[in-house]
Amino acid sequence: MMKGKNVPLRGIADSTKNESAPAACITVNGGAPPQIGLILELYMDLAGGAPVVVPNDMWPPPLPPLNHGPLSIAPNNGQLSKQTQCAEQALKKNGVALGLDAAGIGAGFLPGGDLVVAGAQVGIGVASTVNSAVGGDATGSMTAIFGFQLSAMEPAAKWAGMGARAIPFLGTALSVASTVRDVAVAYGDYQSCMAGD
Amino acid sequence: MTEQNHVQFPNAKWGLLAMLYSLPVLILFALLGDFRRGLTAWICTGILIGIVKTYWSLSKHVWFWATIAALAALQVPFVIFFPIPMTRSFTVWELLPVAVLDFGVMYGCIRLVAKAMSRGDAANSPNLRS
Repeated sequence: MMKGKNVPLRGIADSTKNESAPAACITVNGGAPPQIGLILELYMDLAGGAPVVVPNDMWPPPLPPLNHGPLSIAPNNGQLSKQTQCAEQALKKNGVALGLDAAGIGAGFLPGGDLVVAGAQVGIGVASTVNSAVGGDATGSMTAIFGFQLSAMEPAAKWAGMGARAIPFLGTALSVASTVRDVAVAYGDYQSCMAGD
Repeated sequence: MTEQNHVQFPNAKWGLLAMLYSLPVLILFALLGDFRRGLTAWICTGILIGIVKTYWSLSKHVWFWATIAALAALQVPFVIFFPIPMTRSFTVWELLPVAVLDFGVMYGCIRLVAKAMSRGDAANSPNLRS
């Protein structure tokens, strides 16, 4: 199959008998089945809208390569659906963690002063830790529970003065780091899903 | 020391800014192929920026920057020995107590050095000598 400018389309629109007619002006008539128009549009789309030339002896024309280009057909649809499935799976797996990270950043900007911000961020930290403990393995859960206990001690640090005043800053900084890390973990999950693991 | 009265703790906005300013550290580590240590280095740099912001009123003193450099060197073991795990069973939030502790230690160190330096300044001041 070739593509070019102002080249007549043979085979399909043979009835025009006009060698100089531009392929963009193709009319399908005669005994051509109605599907030909659709096939022709598809071919033109695949060629980026450029005229398509099908020689007389090449009808029906061979299908274009299926795995190339944005409009490729069945096998690529399988690839796309796998990508979607993997993306959904990775989001499902890490969605709560990512949501909590975003909430942690947002909590830094709550009105009501340092105490409210520190309380909200510690709360989100605890929720994040519980989420990690629920979805993690046994060793990880032990770490998480230990972290949970430490996090729960944070309000006590408030009365130490420095701790509570630093928590809005530290909480937001850690939320940002946590977001980046969770995005990286989600991407890792997506990649391993695509690899078929 | 009058600067002690001008200690200003960074807020949440500074948390975002500090992480933004220190992002090149993470990028550098990622390019070198060690994303996990990069995360630790990124957090440590962010906390260090927070400390600098807290004591920004002392920034005109050379000893302040010398202390910051020493504190930065103290963060290196963290980076080497604690690459952030990439498993779902660990959350960065669990580092909050450690981060508070780290911030507190650095805060205390600078306060101590500031106090020592202010005593030295007072001893050397012409009013006391005369």
